[in-house]
Amino acid sequence: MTSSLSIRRLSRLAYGGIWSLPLPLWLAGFFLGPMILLIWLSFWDVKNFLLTPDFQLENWKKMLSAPYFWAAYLRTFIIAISAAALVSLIALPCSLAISFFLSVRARMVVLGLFVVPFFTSYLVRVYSWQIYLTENGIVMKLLAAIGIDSGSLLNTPLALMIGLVTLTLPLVIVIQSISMLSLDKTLIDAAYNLGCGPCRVLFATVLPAVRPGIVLGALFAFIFSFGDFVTATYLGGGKFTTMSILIADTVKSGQQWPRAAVVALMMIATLLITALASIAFAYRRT
Amino acid sequence: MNSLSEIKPARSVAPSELERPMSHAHISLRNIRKTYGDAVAVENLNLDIEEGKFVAIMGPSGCGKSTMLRMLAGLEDVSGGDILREGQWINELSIWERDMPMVWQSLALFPFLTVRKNVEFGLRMKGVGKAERKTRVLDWLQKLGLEGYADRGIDQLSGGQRQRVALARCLVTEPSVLLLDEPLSALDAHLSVQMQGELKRLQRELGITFVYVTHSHSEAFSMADTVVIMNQGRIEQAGSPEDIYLRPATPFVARFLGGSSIFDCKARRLKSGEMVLEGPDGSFKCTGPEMADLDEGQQVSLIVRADQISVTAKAGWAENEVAARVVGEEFIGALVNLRLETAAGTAITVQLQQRDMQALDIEVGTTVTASWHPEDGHIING
Repeated sequence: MTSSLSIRRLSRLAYGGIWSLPLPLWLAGFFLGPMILLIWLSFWDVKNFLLTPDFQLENWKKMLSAPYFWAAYLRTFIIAISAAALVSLIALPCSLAISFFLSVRARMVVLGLFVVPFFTSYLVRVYSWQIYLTENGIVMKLLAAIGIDSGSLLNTPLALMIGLVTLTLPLVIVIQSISMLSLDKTLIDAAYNLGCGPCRVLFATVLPAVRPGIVLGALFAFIFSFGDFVTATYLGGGKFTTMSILIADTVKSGQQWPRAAVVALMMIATLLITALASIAFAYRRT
Repeated sequence: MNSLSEIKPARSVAPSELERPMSHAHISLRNIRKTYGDAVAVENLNLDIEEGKFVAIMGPSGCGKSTMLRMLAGLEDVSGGDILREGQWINELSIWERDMPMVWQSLALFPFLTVRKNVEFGLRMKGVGKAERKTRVLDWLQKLGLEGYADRGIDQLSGGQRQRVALARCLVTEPSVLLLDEPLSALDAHLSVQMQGELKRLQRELGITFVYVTHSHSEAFSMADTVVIMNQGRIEQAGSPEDIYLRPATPFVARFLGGSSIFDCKARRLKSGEMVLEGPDGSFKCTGPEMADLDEGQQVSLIVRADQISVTAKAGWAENEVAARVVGEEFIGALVNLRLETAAGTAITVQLQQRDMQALDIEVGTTVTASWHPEDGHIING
């Protein structure tokens, strides 16, 4: 009696254990391990282009006191936050239309179309933008035809934004739409019922109610833009040194892996703080 | 979201209203019809609601009671007929212009706002000044015992507290009518009874009109001045709770309220000139005033309430008697609901005291005799 009971308990424990095993394994192997390695690496030394295990603060001192590091940091932050704001603004009317004005069928088709960009490599999509934006590109030709000579659009902040919007817009629209679709429509009726007109309802009810979705979408756009290498390299032409480009340059110049680790850790810390702050803001009640 | 283009210039009186005398009712529904494609949700609905009354609309699921409430609030357009408030035609007023706040079944409280901001919402929409908003919100939070919860979120409240926030949110704007759509259905029985008392007290104190949709008999009968019973998009009966309980107008009402036995009968005049009711269960006498209006051969339903039927183990000498088999018994505290079935298949419900039941010494399957006094029968056409 007791033994059969304990066997049943054991098997239930084993069952739960098997299912929950991959998560800690994954986190330990692919997050915690590399993270510890990265932190450790940031204290190493490079002697004669060779990595030498050590414990010295030189890398941190060097990077955190370098003006070019902070310039890159600020630049990357501004680019990422601008991209997040721009993408959220572009996505908002789209998501509102998808969630409130399209029929169920049309909604499925449109949301499906927003997944299609993920079928092709982001690199390919950025490369194709080059054809449009380059000196003799399609956009230039069209502008020249109506008498505007703007030179190359490549390597401008506009090109950077175009690349980052290409990267993040579909995802942000999907995230915003899901949060709007899960909004309880009775809340909108309740707002009307309390004398809230149709223009006001957007700002008084719909947007506050879907704020978690909007913030989450913007957060994803920020994270992707902050760490992006492709757009900064191929549409920014390396003219705008971002954190990712800084990492690549630091590694290339004299095998400075420890200093690159410092940059990477600063990026991780920034993203972590931004994510926590965003989530706190998303669920704040007013 | 409704578009602005739908708002038409308001007319104070409907075209069809010009030919009719003005109504003195607070809210009048005239020949209201609502169809969804071919499906008829509400048909030929006429109802006058007097100012300051507590009106409960009840009926089975899909009877059109919620549709009616939604049409009043402006959430649904009417397909035909007129809605009047104090004689004003309000058919084409938008939801946000109607000033008929509603307590929703799901409560529909704003989860992104604190309790205080939830209650303040309607005032803010009406453009009430900040200082006045603050005092009025505080006043209502106090009235409903919520003053300690003003800065909490909705998810930090209990079911009863949320209910009160929903009420405060509507009442703070001092409306003349409050719509309630099954507001207590999410509460447990104990809390529901407590809230019923509070709702009735509030309505009396404020003196405003409550239109309360529910499927619960106890809610409707314990609170309402007028009970309206709906079925298949039509009003079956509207009257005081007592009226409906004692004199159901249709077999549907009697069946819906439960607790009554219904005998299908035909009126027949005896040689003595006396009118009796004959059916598959036998011939019954009835002394109600309705008897005088019956014609020979007219099809009627004889309704007898469960508390007016007595049961004996042996056939006795009562005037109205029918033999029936015991098919079930339900104990409700000190009372027993006995379910009987006659040879003709008619279901009879009898309510007995627990100790009378024990004295009878019967069990499921026993054949007993059910009887009632001729003055206790109630006759309905059809």
